[in-house]
Amino acid sequence: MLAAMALLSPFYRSLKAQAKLAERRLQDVSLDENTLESGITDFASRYQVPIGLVSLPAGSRSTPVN
Amino acid sequence: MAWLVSPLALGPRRLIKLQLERAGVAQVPEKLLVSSDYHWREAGGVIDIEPFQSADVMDTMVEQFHITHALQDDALDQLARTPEFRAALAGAGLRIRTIHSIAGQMPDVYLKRFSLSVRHTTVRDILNKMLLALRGDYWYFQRYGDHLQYATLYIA
Repeated sequence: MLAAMALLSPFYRSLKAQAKLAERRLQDVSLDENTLESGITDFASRYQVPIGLVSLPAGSRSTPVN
Repeated sequence: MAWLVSPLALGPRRLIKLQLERAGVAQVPEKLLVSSDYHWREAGGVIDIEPFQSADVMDTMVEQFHITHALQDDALDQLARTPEFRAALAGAGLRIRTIHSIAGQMPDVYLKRFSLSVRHTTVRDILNKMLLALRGDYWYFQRYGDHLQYATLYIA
C-alpha cells in the first residue's frame, strides 16, 4: 500500500528522478559529428537523459569541442 | 527520421564529436561544453544547458500555473499566456512561434496528456517538470528571426 502510494506520488517520482540522474553511469557514449546543439539533443534522446536546452540564437556560432 | 527542423540548422555551426567509455552522466555536458558559450547545471532531475548570456525569460517567476489533462502544445501555450511569462516575453521583444515539421509518425510526447500544478516556480523549472511528466527527452528554446523576435519552444 505504502509502496503503491510512493510510486504514485509526484514528489516521490521527482526525488527518484533527481537521485537517478545524479547516480547514473553510462557505459559508452558515442556522439556522431554534429553541431553542439544537435549533439546535446542527440545525447538526450539516445541515452534518455532529460535536458532543457536554451540554444544560442539561430545563426550564432558555437565553439568546437575536441 | 527527422520530424522537427530546428532553425539553428539554417545558421553556420561548427561540429562536435564525442566518445567516452564508462562515463557518468555529468561528464557528458562537461566534455561537450568545455570552451563553449554554454554552461550547465542539474536541477530537479533535468540537466539545464544555457548560453552564458542567456535568455532571462527562463528565470521568470510564475506565481501560479495549473493544467489538467493537457497536451504539450496546449500546456506550452498556456504557459506563454501566464501574466508573468507574457510580460517577460514582451519585455524581451519576443513572440513564441514554434517551428514544427512532422515527416514521420507523431512522437508520443506530442500525444500524451498530463497535469501539473505549481506555485512560485520559474519558467525553466516548469518546463523541467513538464519534461519529466511527459517522459520526454528534452525541451528546447531558441530565438530566431531577422531581429530575433521569435522563439521556438517545444518538448521532444
